[in-house]
Amino acid sequence: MINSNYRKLNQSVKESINGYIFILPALLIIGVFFINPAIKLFSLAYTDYNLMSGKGSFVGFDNFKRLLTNEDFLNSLSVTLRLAIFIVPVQTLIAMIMAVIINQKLKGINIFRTIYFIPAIVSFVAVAITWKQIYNPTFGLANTILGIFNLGPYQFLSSKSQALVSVAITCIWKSWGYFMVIFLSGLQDIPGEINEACKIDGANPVQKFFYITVPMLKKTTLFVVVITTMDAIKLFIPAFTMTGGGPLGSTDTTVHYIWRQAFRLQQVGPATAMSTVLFVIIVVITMIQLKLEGKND
Amino acid sequence: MRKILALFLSVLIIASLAAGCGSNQPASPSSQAPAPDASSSAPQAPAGKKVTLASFPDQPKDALEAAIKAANLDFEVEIIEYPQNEYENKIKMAFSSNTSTDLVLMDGPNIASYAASDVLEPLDAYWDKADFDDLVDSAKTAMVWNGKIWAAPLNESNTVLFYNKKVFDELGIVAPTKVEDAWTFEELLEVCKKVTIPGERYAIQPQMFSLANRNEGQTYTQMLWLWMSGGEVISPDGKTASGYFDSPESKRGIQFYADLFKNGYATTEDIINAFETGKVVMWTNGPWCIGNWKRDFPDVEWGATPMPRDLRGASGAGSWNIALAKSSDNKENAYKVIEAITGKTGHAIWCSMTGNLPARKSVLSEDPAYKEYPFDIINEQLVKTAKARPVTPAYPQISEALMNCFAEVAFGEDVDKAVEKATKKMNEALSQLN
Repeated sequence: MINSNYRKLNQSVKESINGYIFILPALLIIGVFFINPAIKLFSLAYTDYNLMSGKGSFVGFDNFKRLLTNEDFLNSLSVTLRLAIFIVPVQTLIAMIMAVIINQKLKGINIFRTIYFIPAIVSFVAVAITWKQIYNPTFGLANTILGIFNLGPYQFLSSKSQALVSVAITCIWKSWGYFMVIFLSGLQDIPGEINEACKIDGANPVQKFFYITVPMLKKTTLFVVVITTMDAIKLFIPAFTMTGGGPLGSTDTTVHYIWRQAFRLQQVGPATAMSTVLFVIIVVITMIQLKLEGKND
Repeated sequence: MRKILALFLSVLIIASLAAGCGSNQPASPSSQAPAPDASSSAPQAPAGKKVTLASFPDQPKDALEAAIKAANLDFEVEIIEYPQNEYENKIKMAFSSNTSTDLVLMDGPNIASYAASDVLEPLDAYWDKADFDDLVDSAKTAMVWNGKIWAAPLNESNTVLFYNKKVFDELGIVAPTKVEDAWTFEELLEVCKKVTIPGERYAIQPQMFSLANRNEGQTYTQMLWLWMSGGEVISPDGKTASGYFDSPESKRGIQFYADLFKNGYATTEDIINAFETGKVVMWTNGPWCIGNWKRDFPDVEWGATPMPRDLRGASGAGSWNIALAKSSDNKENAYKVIEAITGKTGHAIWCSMTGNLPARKSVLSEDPAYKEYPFDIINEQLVKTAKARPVTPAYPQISEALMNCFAEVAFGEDVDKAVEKATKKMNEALSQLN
């Protein structure tokens, strides 16, 4: 009895050692390139670190206190929030509907699947630069097309009120294809019998979408929403490439603002404090979302 | 099949990510260093030690090399170019990791911030006082922080009010060519009124780029408007912006700038090549435009007039400079390279090859090219109205606050409110220095 228990224990220790060996490479990479910098970052938030001389002294919570009255930082949080609120539902809806459309057995449908997926594998910088040209008020494609319908010309990126929506549209264009593929795999997991039963009962496509597809895709949807939300909160490239955060900070996402503070203005202390705050925000939002997901299971 | 497709796609994604991360790293100094011919000239080793200089592609390498060559140095100079957009980041990282080159090119208003970070060697011990005095005043001011000289200018810069000659001729507007005849704010408004065609043509772009751009070129030209009306950005001792940036004089200049937009004389729209395509008639910018027009827009008929004045005249100043790294173990030779490039002979070579404006009075007065239109105006302005931007380690933040303030008022924000916000930001940045 004792012997067999011992053997079991021995075996489980062996197994866990094997397990650790397997995850060691990943752990090392994550440790060196993610956890280590993260710890450094959290500790710098309490200093007035100078990027060039490498010197800095402890300043307590000063960097955090100043954030509360930093209008530009609060503005960047609001910009990020508005971007997320716009992007997450719109993008998820487009991806889901397109997945349903593209899930049909039609001739040549694979070509469309590929075409829609292409933006997802193109570098975001290339996408952003292309869209910047499209949005050009003077000779951009957007105003040319809108001009055919007697609309515009619009200012897009150089207008305080249109810039954020323009950026959001670019982000959605870039990413919806990727999430469409995820929805597509979710759709293919819906058992064929259910669809058949649905057909026999005489449901029309709209009814089928709302009563079969949407509920059956709940798990996939939650996954997509969590990932999209995190992506939206961490947006940097469009602000950096397309607008520089302007006009008047109307597209200044939090990550872009933090980057500017740290590497353009050398305000490493305040910037790391902001990063800490953003980290907490992302953790809280993700926890809420995962909790919702757990409830729905 | 699906698995293979998935694998293929993930490889594609990773490949595209990797492509985004790559950058054309300049060869590291050590890997490129040719084997020193130790056998032939071993004895005077320190004198022959190689000097490295960090630069970027916009600063013509051949002009730097020509100036160095003319000095007949007995050691090698290696110019290491970093990609332009990454330049500031690269040199900051090099300083922080103690791998800096001996010499570093540096934008004027950032010198103090580097000096305060304790990564530069002051040049006072090397630079002869009489030779330093050959610099125009604005250049001298820009080189000195905390009572010490921190860099030597590659060249100076200046701004004028360019105008569309065709439009001016059509409307019979005659622009002054002497600094003392420069337009007052009121006279400028009259001209603006005459040349504006609502919805079609704007009178003036009162900053270097459209407001969609955020870089030092904006601050460089926007600051002029508050200087013209007698304002200042920060106190002479560099301790506060209160009573300076928010003084009635400064606000008058900022209000004038704001009114240009409010009255429809200037626009917040992002028009590409606005001046060249005739969408904007006047433009605050520097003489480098002339070269661009010759090359890319030979049909543009331009003229230049001195920057306007209100209480006083003001024109831009400050450009790129060479600084000596504190961590350099080859300072004697490195200074010889500074001397070669920025001394009288090298300076003349550099300026004539690059078309830049000299920072030395002697070079300005000797070369007849600087007496021809529009350089006669620029030359006169350099001596009479050119003003260096504030010299303070907090300059990057000051510049950001000022640029935001001007953008806000251009978009219609109340001047008092915008100025108050910017003053607060500037004071915050300045108070952290002490």
